[in-house]
Amino acid sequence: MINDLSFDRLYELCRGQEFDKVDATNAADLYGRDNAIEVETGILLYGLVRRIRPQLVVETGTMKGFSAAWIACGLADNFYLDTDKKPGHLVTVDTYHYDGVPEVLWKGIRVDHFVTHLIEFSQHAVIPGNDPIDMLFLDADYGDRFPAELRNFAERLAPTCMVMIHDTKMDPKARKAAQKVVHRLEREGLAVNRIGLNNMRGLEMIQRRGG
Amino acid sequence: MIGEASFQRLWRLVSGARFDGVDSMIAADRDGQATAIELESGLLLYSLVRRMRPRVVVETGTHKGFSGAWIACALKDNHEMNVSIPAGHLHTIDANRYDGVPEHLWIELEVDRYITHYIGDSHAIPVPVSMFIDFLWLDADHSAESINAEWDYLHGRLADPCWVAFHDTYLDARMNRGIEIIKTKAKNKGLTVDHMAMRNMRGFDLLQLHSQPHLKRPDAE
Repeated sequence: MINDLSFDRLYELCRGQEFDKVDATNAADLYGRDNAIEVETGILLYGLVRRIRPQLVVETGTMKGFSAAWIACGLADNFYLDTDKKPGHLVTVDTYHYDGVPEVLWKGIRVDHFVTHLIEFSQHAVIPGNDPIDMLFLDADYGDRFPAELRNFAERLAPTCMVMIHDTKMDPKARKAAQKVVHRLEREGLAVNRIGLNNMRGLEMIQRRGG
Repeated sequence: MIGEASFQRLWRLVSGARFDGVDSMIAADRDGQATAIELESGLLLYSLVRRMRPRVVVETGTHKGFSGAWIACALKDNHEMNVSIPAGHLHTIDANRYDGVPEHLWIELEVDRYITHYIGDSHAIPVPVSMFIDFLWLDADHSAESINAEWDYLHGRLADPCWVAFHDTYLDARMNRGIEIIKTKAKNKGLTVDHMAMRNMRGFDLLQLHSQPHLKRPDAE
C-alpha cells in the first residue's frame, strides 16, 4: 500500500474472493480456494510483514503460492519504500510444484524476485545464505515429519523471530505443533510470547523474546 | 479489501503519506502527520480487525481520527462481507474535538456510522453498559498512571477473550511500566495474559486476555 502498483497487487489477490458463509473469506478458485489460507489471514500476513519488516521469511506449505504472495507483497512494499536497504526475502518450501501455478501468480503481480521456491521436504530444506529467520510461517504437514522440520529451522531463528502456525483451530496436529514450538524454545532457555487467534481456521503466533 | 470502494477508502488513508527516512510511513499532513500512528500500524490495526472480527472496539486517543479510520474501514469490510451479522462498532474518546477533523475524515470514507466519538476523559469512556469490549486500543496519555486509570475503569467490561493493544511502546518507556502493571492486575484476577511486542517503529504491543489457556504446555498433557 505505497503506490498504484502496490494496490493493484493486493487487488489481484482479493479478486474472486468469496465469503465461506461462516466467518472467513476464501481465495479465488485459481489460488486454491479453501485449500489456501483465508483472505483475512493473508491480509494479516501482509500487515505483519509491513509492520515488523522482516529480512528473511521462511514458509512451509507453498501450495499454489497464495500465502507467499501476501508475504512477498509486504516485502516488496517495504523495499520500494526504502530502496537504500537490502530487500527482504521469502523462502517457501513444498514437496510439490503445483505445475508452476505459484510462479505464474508471483510473476503476474511482480513479486517473483522476492521469493525463492524450494521443492523438497521441509525437514531437508537448506535455506540459502546465513541470515537468521525473522518470520517463520508453518503451514505444511504437522504429522510425523514436523519435529525434524522444526529442528531444521530452530537453529536459524532470529532472537525476536515470530513463528506462525496456521490451522490451529481446525487441526489438532497443528495445535500440537504449536506446543512443540513453544516447548522447543523454552527448553533452550528462551522466553516466548504467544498469542492465538481461535476463530476462522486458527492461527498461533509465537515470538521469541531473546532480543 | 473486499471491493473497489473498500480499496478506495484505504487509498485515501495512504494518499499523502510519506517515508519518515528511518523505518516507517507517516500520515498525510491533514491526518496528523507524525502525531498520528504510522501507516504500518494503521494497516496492522486494519488487518487485526479483519482477522479477529471484533464486535466492540474501544479506542482512547482519537486525535484526528486516523487510527479510528483504519479500524472503522475494517469493521465496514467485515460487515459488508456478511451483512447477516450485526456490524462491529468503534467507540473512541479524546479530550479535544480537533475542530471536527475526525468526523470529516470518517464521513469522507463513509465509515462514520461505525463510530461513536466521545469528547471527554479517557478514564471514563461512556461505552453502553450492555457491551463487552473485544478489542481495546489504548493510545491516549502514555503515562503508566493514565493507562492504569483507563484499565481500572474498563477491566470489568472486557469480553473473554479480549485483545488490548498499546501504541508508542518503543518510543515511550512509561508505556511498558503501565503494561506490566496491567498484566499483573489481570493475572491477579485469574486471567491468562499473552503478550506480543513489536518494538520497532514507535512500538506496538498486544495483550490477549482470557480465562482459559488456549495453548496447553506440552508437559500438561
